[in-house]
Amino acid sequence: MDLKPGSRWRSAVCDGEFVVVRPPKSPASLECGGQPVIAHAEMRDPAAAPSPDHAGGSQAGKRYTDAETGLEALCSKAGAGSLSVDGRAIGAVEAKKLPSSD
Amino acid sequence: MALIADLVALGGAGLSIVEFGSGGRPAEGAGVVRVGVHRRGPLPDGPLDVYDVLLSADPSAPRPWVGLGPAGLDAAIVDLESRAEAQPAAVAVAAQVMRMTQRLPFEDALALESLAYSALLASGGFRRWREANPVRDRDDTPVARVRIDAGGPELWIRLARPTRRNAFDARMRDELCETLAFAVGHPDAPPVNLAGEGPCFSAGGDLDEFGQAADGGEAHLVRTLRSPALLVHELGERITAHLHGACIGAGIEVPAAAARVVARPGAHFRLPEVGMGLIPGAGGTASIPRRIGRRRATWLAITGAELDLAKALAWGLVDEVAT
Repeated sequence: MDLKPGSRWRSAVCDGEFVVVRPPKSPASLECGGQPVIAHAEMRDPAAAPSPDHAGGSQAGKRYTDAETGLEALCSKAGAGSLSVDGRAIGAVEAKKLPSSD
Repeated sequence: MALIADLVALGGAGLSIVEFGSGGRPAEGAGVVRVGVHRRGPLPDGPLDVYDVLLSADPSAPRPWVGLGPAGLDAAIVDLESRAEAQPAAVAVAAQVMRMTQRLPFEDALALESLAYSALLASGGFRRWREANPVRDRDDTPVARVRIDAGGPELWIRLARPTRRNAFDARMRDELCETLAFAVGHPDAPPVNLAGEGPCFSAGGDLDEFGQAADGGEAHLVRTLRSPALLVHELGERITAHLHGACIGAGIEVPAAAARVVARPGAHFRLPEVGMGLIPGAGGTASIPRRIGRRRATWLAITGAELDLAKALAWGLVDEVAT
């Protein structure tokens, strides 16, 4: 899969939708719910479901990064499946918290 | 307080109240708040730009006037005088900042507001307010303050701290900025809705955090970097704010930057910051004058008066009442 910046993908197994913010340094497979994501324009099989190992969920508005490949993806629609790259689970980036300015 | 008395005597602070028809002219010092009072007859048609606040006995006087009715007029003047006496620096700075914000691009207006806010955080007026209103136990439990629903064709962003009446703390500011930035950059550019969970949209800044900023310069940079009002402004025509209940301080300053503001019956609006020795600091000196004009905005900020929904609609602070 060509994970170009700005390319849009959907989970094959849940409602999750994603946008690539930063591409991987080397070819990689982005998965959601344990299955490779599919192009945003494609339809998913409505009967499919995330595998239990990858069912932690994806949150809309969160960025997910893979330290190994540098891939960064933004979740634009939440889903029941969680993201992985080449089978490796990846987590959400926590925005830097700043102190009160009052 | 002796210095303030000197400044007032020297024409560098205080109010200059002029009754139209009396032949009087307002004082010119930049630190003086110039108040024009209209008691009877047709509304003056001369140049009014010099005034910061315009009060009229005609309750239906149009913008830029605040229409109070004959009985309300004297009470309003007494109220302004007591506010200027209680918080002379904040009252002057509120009027000064509002003179400039409408002439500036939105982002520059926010920077100006923030600079003034940092100056006032170091003022005696604010210190005295803080001493008289001690900090309670802060609730900084690390639970989400903002919820996002991106499941449908429109985005919904909801303030989700209902047990604290959606008080804006640093965590809420950061989460709201993250969520609004997501909305700004969303590939579908969907319509965005901003609302609050619980009894009200937001009771405003979390008072238990006020006075925490130890470094006024750094606090200015934090405010400039993390500005929900700027992101709401950047969303342009895409964003609608949905208000209900109390909309206090930041609770009206941020949504007022939205292209469209819808409010439910019972919604009410207030800017309490000047009474605390500060000015509106969540973008309100930029967003509110753009909706209601600077003279009415200055009056709201200086007096801390509560605006009900009918008046907010008539003034344009709210665009539509939700049914």
